[in-house]
Formats: sequence, C-alpha cells, structure tokens
Amino acid sequence: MPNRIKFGKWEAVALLINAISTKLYLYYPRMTVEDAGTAGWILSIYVSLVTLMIFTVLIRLYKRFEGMDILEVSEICGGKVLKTLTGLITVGVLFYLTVITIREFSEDMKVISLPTSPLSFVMLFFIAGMIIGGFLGLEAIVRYHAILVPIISIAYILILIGAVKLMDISNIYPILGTGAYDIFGKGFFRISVFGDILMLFLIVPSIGSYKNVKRIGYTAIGFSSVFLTMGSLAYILSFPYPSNLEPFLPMYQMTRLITYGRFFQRIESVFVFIWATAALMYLTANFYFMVYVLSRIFDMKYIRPLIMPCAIIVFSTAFVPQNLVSVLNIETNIFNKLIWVITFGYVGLILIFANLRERAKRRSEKDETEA
Amino acid sequence: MKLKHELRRIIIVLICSSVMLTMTGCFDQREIDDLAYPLAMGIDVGVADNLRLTLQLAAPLSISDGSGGPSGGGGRGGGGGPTSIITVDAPSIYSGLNMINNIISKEINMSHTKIIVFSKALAEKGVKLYLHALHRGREFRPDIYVAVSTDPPDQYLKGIKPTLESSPAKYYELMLGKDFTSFYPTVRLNSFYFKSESDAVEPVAILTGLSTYNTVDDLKKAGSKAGGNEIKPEGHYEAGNIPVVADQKNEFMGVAVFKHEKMVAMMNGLESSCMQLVTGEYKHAYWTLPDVYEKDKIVVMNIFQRKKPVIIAAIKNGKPCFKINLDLEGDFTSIQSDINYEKYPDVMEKGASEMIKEEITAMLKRTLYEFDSDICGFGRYVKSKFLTWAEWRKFDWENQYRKSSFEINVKLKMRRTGLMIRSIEH
Amino acid sequence: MSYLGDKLKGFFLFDEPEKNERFILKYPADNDKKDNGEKNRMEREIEKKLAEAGKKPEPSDAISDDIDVNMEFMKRKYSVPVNSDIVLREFSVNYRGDLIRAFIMFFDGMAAREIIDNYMLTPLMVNSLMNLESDSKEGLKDYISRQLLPHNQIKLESAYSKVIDEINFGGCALFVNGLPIAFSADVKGWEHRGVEKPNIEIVIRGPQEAFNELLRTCTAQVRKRVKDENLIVEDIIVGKVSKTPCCLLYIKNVTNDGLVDEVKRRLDSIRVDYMLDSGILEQLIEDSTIYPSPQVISTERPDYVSELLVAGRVAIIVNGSPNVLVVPITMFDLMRSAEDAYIRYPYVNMLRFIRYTALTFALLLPGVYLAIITYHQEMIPTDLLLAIEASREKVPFPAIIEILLMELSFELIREAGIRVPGPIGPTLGIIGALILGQAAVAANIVSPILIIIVAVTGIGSFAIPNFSQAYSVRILRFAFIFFGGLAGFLGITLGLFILGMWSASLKTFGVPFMAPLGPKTAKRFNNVIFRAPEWRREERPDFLNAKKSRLQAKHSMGWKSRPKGKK
Repeated sequence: MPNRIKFGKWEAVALLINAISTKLYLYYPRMTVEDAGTAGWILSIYVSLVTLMIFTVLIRLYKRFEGMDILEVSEICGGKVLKTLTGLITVGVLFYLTVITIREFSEDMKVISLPTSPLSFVMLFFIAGMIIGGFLGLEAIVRYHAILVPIISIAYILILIGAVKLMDISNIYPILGTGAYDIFGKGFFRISVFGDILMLFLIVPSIGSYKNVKRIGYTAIGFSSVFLTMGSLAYILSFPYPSNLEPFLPMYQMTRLITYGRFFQRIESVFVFIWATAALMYLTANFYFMVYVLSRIFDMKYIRPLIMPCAIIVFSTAFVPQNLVSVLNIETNIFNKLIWVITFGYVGLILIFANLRERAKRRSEKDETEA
Repeated sequence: MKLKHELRRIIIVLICSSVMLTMTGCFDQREIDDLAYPLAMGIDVGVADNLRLTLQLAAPLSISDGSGGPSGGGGRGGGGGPTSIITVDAPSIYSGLNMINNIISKEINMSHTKIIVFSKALAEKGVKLYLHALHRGREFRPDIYVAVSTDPPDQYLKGIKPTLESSPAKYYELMLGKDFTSFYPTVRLNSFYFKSESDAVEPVAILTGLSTYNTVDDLKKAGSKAGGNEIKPEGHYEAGNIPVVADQKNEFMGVAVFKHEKMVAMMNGLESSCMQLVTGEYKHAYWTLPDVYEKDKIVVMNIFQRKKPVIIAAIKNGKPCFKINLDLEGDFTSIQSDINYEKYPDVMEKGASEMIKEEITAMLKRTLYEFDSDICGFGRYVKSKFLTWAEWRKFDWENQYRKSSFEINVKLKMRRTGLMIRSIEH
Repeated sequence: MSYLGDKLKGFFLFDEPEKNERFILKYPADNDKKDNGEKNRMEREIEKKLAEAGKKPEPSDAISDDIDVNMEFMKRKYSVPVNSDIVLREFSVNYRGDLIRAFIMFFDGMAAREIIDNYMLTPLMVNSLMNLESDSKEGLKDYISRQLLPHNQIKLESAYSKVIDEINFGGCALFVNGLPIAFSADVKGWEHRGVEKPNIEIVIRGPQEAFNELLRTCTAQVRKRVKDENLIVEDIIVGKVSKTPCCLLYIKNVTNDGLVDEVKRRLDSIRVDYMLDSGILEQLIEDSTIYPSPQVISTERPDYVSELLVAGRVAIIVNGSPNVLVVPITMFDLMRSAEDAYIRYPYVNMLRFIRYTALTFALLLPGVYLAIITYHQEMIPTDLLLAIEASREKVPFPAIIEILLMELSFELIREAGIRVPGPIGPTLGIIGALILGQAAVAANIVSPILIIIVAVTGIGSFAIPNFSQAYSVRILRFAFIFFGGLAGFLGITLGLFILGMWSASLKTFGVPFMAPLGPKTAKRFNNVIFRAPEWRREERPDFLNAKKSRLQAKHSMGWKSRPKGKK
C-alpha cells in the first residue's frame, strides 16, 4: 500500500484550502458576477453556508467509518463492483479538473506574459511540475502545501488591500443584483465550487481520528469561503457592473491597478509567482490523487509506472477544446453546475447506504448473539 | 521481457531528444534593446484612412548621452529632442502599429505608454470604436492618462519638449499625477472606460493643447473673457488659452466633457475644480477671491478638502434631488488689503463659501441644461435606492438626470494664516 | 556520470524498488519497546563491549610465550630491516634474580621517545633491579603491569592483530619471554598542531578555539564544555585498512536511542579500505548524494558542537580531521552560525534577516533579472528601462550570454583566488573583479548594471554562514538562470517548485529536511527563522524526539519573576 503516510492537520487544511481557492485566480469572481450581478458576494456567502450544512450531514454519516477512505466505504456498501465504480467516477472527476485547470492556466499564462509561445510549451511547464510531484510522493506534496499556502494567502490579502484605493462603495448597489431568484435559486448549483472537498474523503486514512477529519473539513471550508467571498467582494467593488463581466482574468486586472506613487506600480508580474505556484500545487495534488485512486481500483502495488502515461493522457486531452472561450464555457456553464452531484450527491448516497448496511449487519449480529 | 542495456540506452536517448525537440528555443524572449517604447499615442481623424495614429517614441541613446562610457548612462537630454514622432494613417490602432513596424526597426511595445491624446475632432465624432481595443490589449496599462487635445495630436506631440526632465516619461508622470492644482482632473484609461460603459456616470478627459502665445507681446491678445469682473480668477482658461509664454508649448487645463463616448463640451479650469470638489477628487488649490470690504483687492486662500463630500439623494415626485454638503478648510496665503481677517475669519469664510457655492451651482447648471451629462456621478447615489438591477434600468437615469435639483452647502473653515498672525492696517 | 544516467533512467523506465525500509525517527517511548523488554540500549552496548573484550583470539593470531617466535613474527610482519622507521629494542628484565629477555617495538617519529625512555625502559631495566617487595604469588605478568610500568595506559593483549593495530597507531608493544601476552602502551607523540583559532567560522563574540587533528583533544574540548557524565563517547573504527578511529558523541539521557542506533548502524556498515577524512565520511553516510545542500553540519568549533549536542543531536569526530560532523539537521540549521547564541536578541534577528535576504539574492537575482529584462519589460519603471536600454544598446551579446559570461568569470576569479599564494590572494580577487568589470564595461562587452548584479550575487553567497550551503547556492544559481531565460517568471516558479518539493521529500536520519515548517510540529518555533530570546527557549526541537524535551524551567530568570504570594 503506497499510501499509509500520516500527516498532520495543518498539512491537510493547507491542501484543501489551496484546492478550493485556486479557482479565484481563474474565473471565480467573474462567475459570481455573471450569476448574480452586483450581489455576487451574497451568492458567495450563501454557497458557503449551504456547503457547510451539507458537509455537516456528510461528516455525520461518516462517523462509523473512521479511518477509511471513500473507496473502502463503497466496498462495504456494495462490494468490489461499487468500489470500482466509485473509483472510476473519482478518477473521472479528478481527471476532468486537472485537464480543464491546466488548459486554463496555460491560456492565462499565454495571455499575460508569453503571448507567442505555443500552447504546448507553456503546458509543458505545468506537466513537468506534475510529473515531478508524482514521483516525489504525497509527503512532499503535502509538506510543500503546508509551507506555501500561508505565504500565498498573505500575498493575496496584500493584493486585496492594495486595491482598496480604487474601490467605490457605490459599485455594490443595487444590493440584490439581478434578483433574489438568481442568487438563491440558480446560485444553488454553484456549490460545485467546493467540489474539491472530495479530496478530503480520500485522505481520511492518513489523518487518523474522526475528530481531526471533522475539524479539518470545517477549517478548510471556512477559510476558503472567506477567501472566495473577499475576492468576489473586492472585484465587485473595484469594477462597476456590467463592465466587470468583460475581463478574462479578474485577479490579474485588479493587480494591474495597484499603484502607490511613481515607483511602486506594475507589480502584476510578481503576481505570476503566487499564481503559478498555486496552480502547480493544485495540479500536482489532483494528479497524484488521480493516479493513486487508479492504482487502488486495480489493486496495484506501485503507482510509479502509471505516472508518465497518465501525464501524457492529460497533456493530449488538454488540447481537445478548440479555443479559450469554449474552455470557459465548458467550465462555468456545463460542468460547474454538475460536479456537486458527484461530490455531495453521490458521496452522500454511498454513505447513506453504507450506514444502512452497517446498521443491518450490527443488528443481525446482535440478534445472533442474543439468540 | 528484460531489455538489453544498449536497447535501453537507445530508447532513453530517443525519448529525451523527442521531448527536447518540442522546446526549440525560448519563444517569447525579447531582448530589451530590441523593442521600441512609445511614450505617448495620439489618435486623430484620418485623412487617408479611418484614423491618424501618432506615436512619440523614446530614443534612449539621446536620453542618456550616447557615449555609454564607464560612468554609465544618465546624462541630460536637454531640449534636443530625445524622442521621435511618427504619424500614420490606418484603419485601426493595431493596424497602425503594424504599419509603423514597417518603418521602425524595433518591435513596438506599448507597455510604457503614458498618455493617449484624442483630437477634438475625433472626440466629437465618438471614441467608442477605439476604446475597446485599448481595453482589450494587454500591453495598454489601465493607468494610461486620457486627454483630449484642441490641436491635432501630431502637432501637439511634436510640441512636447520637456525642459526640466531628461525623458518625457518622467514629464508625463509628474505632470499628470499632480495633486496641487486641480485645474484638470486625473483621468486614467480604466476609469474612462468604465464610466463610458456605465449608465450612472459620464466620463471626462483632460483638456490639453498648445499655447497660442509665442512671445510676451502676444499676451495682450488675451482680452478679458471673464465678462464683468476686473479680476480674472486664475482658473478661468481652457488649455491653449492660458496667458503663459514658455519654452514648453503644451499646457493642460480644463475638462473635456463626454456623454457616453462623444465629447459634447469643454469646461475651464475653475469648473474643473468645482467638479472635483463635488466628486471628492479635489486635493488642494489656491483660490483668488475678491476682498469682502475692498472690492478691488483680492484675498488668496489655499483650500483643502479634508472630508469627502456628503451627498444625500432623494426622489421626490419622480424627480431626483440632491443635497451636497462640502466640508472645506483653508489657509490664508495673501491678504492684499491689510484688513485683519486673521482675527475675524468668519467674514472671509462666508464670502468665500458663497463664492464657491455660486461657482459650483453654475457648473452644475451647465451640466444639467447645456450638455445634459452627469459627469459628477450623481447616478451612483441614486442607484442605492433600488433593490435589483432591473429596477434600476427601468428608472432610466440618463433621461432623468436633467430633472434633478441641487441644494449645496459649503462649509469653509479657515485654519492657518501662514507666517503672519495679524495684518496691521496702515 | 552514469550515476546521473541511472537516476534519469528511473524516470522513464520502471524498476521495482528495493525492499529497504527507510529509517523513521520514532518517539523515545517506542524505542524502549524491544523484544526482550527490560534491556535498553545502553545495557546492550555495555554487554557487547564486554563480550568483545573477553573474546579469545584465534589460534593463528595468538601470541606465543616464546620470545623468539614473537620476534620472528613481528619482524616478518613489519618487513624489518627494509621498513626503516620501525624500532626493535631488546633488553632484559630482572625478576627475582633472573634476567628475562624482552623487547619493545614502536615507530620512530610516532611514539614519544621520552615516555618510552623514562616510563618504560627505565623502570623495566633499572627499577627491576631493585627487589621490590611483592607478593610471591604474583606472577611476572602482574609484576610488570602492576608494579614496574608507571605508564597511565597499559593494555594486555593476547592477539597479534591487536598489538599490530596499536603499534600502527603510535603505540609501543612490549613482549616478555615466557608470557603469552604482550603489553601495549599508548605513547602517541607525533608532531601536531595545537589548539588554534578557527579558520572558517570566525566569530566576533565567542570562544576562539577550534578542533585540531587529534581525536582525544577534540573529545576533551567537547567534554570540558558539557561537564556531564551522561555524555557518551563511543569508539568506532571505520575503514578496513586505514582503521580510522572515529568517535560518536551523544548525551545518554537526552538523545533518542533510535537515532544513535541508526548512526552507529550506518557507520558500522561502511565497507571501504581507506577512510581518511570527515569529508569522505560525510559523503558515505548522507542520505542523498545528488541534493545540492549538505545534509550534515561540518563544523570546527567545539562550542557549536556542544550546543548542538545539548539539543539532542549526535556528533561524529574523525581522527585526523578538524571538522566534526553533526547529525541530523534541517534546512534552517544551515542558515545559523555559531555566533547566534551569543548575540543579543535584536542583533541576531537582524542578522538572520540579512542572511535570508542574502540567500534570496544569491539564488535568484541573476535569474529574476534575466526574466525581467527579456520577458517582463513592462515591470520596470520607465526611467530605469530607458537607462538599461541605453546602456545595453552597444553590447553585442544577448542578455543570457552576457549573464553567463559574467557569472563564469566571477567563479573563475573566485577559484583562482583560493590558490594564489600569500597576500596576493584576496587582493587578486578584488582587483580582478574591479578591473575586469570596469574594462568589460568600457569595452561595451557587458552593461554596467550587470556588474552590480553579479557583485551583489557574489557578496550574497559569502554571507551564508555554512560553507557547503554557499556552494550549493552557487550551483543552483545557474539552474535558475536557465529557467528564467526559458520562460521568465513561469520558469523561475517552476524552478522554485522543483527545489521546494525536492527539499520537502528529503529526510536526513529520519528527520524531514523541512521540519519544523514542512511537517508542522507541535511546539513553538524557537529558532527556525528568527531566534527567540534566550530565556524563552524552553524546549528542545520537536523533530529530534529527544527523551527530555525541557531545556529550561518556565521562569528561567529567577531574578525577574517571583512566585505569587511570596515577597
């Protein structure tokens, strides 16, 4: 078993925060504005609250299965078949996320600083990072997260503070944006943003106690929702609606506006550091879990041989969308409304059935001992 | 099946070389001296084509004393023209840049452009066609200044020969980032663009032009335009008309008023100050006020706006009305009549606030009736009265603006009096 | 080169990994749970040493009681008389009226002649004439060793190999006719350096003593600082032929037993013929050969070694080398100097800040400069940009070639400056750099701003306290130049990512290399990047899993704090 590595609470929290918050750099503020107009931040808060509630339910159902990840739970629920099915679905979700994210980040890098390089060249950098992360193992990935996520968060907060100068409070009116139905009704599907919490269910055996898992989940969701809401709010305040539907990279545009005096300006290239680091960490973690689950489905002993082929598959699939707009379309309109079905719906169903099965088994055992 | 050693080696070499072949060279690498950096761009109505594009390129050799000796660069450019101007007629901005690259050896990199100058003719026709290209291009930074020039940009840019700096870049940064005259606003590309797209506020641009006076004798041509007042307040000019004779020909003063993307009017320096007072962007400036008791003498005050203006919006009977409360502070800088205003400042305070209130009212009336353009952004305060975006659109602020009424309160407090604590009457 | 090739092969083709278990540093409580329950490590070691000492020699190796046989054997072994510095002195010992033949053997130049003359030959030849009152039951062996030889270290050996080892290392062997044993005396007395000032780790405030090449002097230096009877000095011989004596130092009731076991295991399992210096030993016991930074600390200051021992680490002293190895370490230990403990709290933190800034500059400055100049020109303020462009206008090389040229020449000057003799050395470095730089700028080969960059980089690498770490930074700098030239900031980010991941996956002697930030440990951060004041450093570093974790009481300054309720 290649993965009975133990790591601590802070590492797991950092892993999850980075996984959820990387969307900020891609499209998240603009997505909230597209949905709800100037009330995007309300949407963000609403989504976080709904996720917290759903997570409470899920983690309560998880109580019986302390120390087992979602694959083992589905094995209890429905045997090898269900385990394979769950594994394949998980691999599918992670694969999709990796492909879309790497394509988006490469396109972003091309727009920002490398306009004439071919896309494959830029993608090669991310792929190289992913492969090296895969070879070095989960310990290295998780420790690197633990060190860098605080640094990235501080840099992000500094960017938001630096942009205060050009925020205009009147940009937040009208308060309810495009209407309450848009925020609360259609906005419900945006809980997919927290879809990366699926990773938490995969690392349960490495964390150990159930209490820790619960704490990690709440901390991660709490921090990420604060970051996401702050990002959305800052974006809405800095750029008036409806002009803020147009920019392609919300965070980048905000960073461009930071000027303090004659010398301290044009720092968005420093932004590339934290942004590319967050991307690399996210992609590496996703890729590693994908390969790991793949090896678990087929009960393989080593995951090393899988790394290079999977990397090549990801690389080639990332070229499938024809242009940038279709990538964004796929991301925000189609899939982002559906991932919550898997992360929350499917996982919830498995947990419920597994719980019922356990209870039935316990009851039949008790009946046997009593009889 | 175990592969033999040699076969393994061959496979490794093949894989490595095929990987490396995809990485032939660094694609985006550009040497810093292979690029040309325009410092200013001028856009005008074109004769041979859609628009006339003018670029003011920085010529670094002359900026830093060409010899490149061991003491390094950084010499003086002097008035010797450290820039070079190119004008081209082209269908659009990017095609113009393309065409210019057929003349200039280095690739044009717009990321150090400091100012974009539209000509008056083009501004009146509408700048919307070009704004989007400027906003979309990643090389155009969002803090480029936007100006409208009363003279055609190709002549205007030729006239920029900064006397105190070695490079025009520094000239632009210092000139346009000022905070102590308030006779022209600080307008950057992103705020210009957003305001032109917004329906709650209309954009403005800096007004600029070349001086019409070449020698001191020409100054007598500047007849009195103030009409009535013998003392002309200093802000009462527009760019190009300031009675100034200098080596440097270009001047900035006033505001170009836009409605959506067409220029509709020009305002002079004083009105620009008033506009900035209302929007809260005013920093500080000197105001010349007629003395309350001796009408032919003046009192000069340095007025600051310490607190942002408080604007309360209300909709009564479908008409928007605004209450504007301004909170200003001032220092006495010159009392020509020797009257001891230091001891009784409220006299001067009342007079000054009355005068300021008159000017502001005059300016707002112009925006309401003459050009019907909400440049001070009152729509933003009305926006908070609505709950959803649909309701706000239904209200149709553009057509409601002209029905607004204003109530202005100016509170001016004199704080300091310079080095003299009292004026002794003789 | 084929080592690198093997590593690269591991990327593309998959080999089943070897089944060796990586060492994990466990908690002290877990170490004691062995199979036989009660015995802990110290008791086992004592048993082992006693068993070794009491072992009977093999028949071919046993010393015979006939002195002629012994003399022949020894003459043959040492190729007397071809080997010219071995001395064989025959004499007679008087014992109860009989004259018994004896001889001593030693290496001229290695043994102290006065000691042999005064404390071995004189008592044996002269004092034995005096009939000392002795118990008649006492045999010759006891008579000689207990009464006649007033030397402070005498061992009785019954195997030839042990005697030969002693003689090889400067001892003197005494064979007496009729006794199947030999007496070996430790009379080492070769010319050696005294205790001098440290050469590399120079401090302004602190002791000015350094280790020298003698093993016992070094251990004495450490012992006299840590006056603790729990400080154990274990002897290990490394090298089949060179038989270099090494010492393992640790504090018995502080250091984790598993750690000591692991160090000993690694040292015992080295199978080389010659191991001559601690540098070689370092390469033989470190975890990763290819990783740029060092994974053990090599220091020449005894006070620094004592400080590290007290924290719970293990020190290895190699005879003949003034550098002592201390394991295990983390990445942040490489940025500390010995002086940090002796300087006041504000100064030491400022120094740490400067060191980390120097590290950043030395590593990243040329790469970042290259990235900005070639990819991110919009980042530079316009005036600076125009100035750089004007100065680069005349330079014929592209930026990356320019940088590589200057960096290479800087490294050349540095390397040459080490070998130039005498006082010209440092001057050559300065003058070479200055003149070369100036001339290059005047000839328009490089731009002036690049000289500044290269100079700051070089100075930054000198500010790093650990010498080996400075080397590693010098190597990595070129990697970052390459990455920066490849894709600007994206390339540099990838470089940092690879370096960070590699460091995060590394483990030295069971301790993760990036602890305590990598895996976040439970206790306070006393001394990671910035140093807490002395009175606050209450606990030992958590990643060492020491037996006793408290270093100080909670209120270590008794004069300041007063328990409540008392006056």
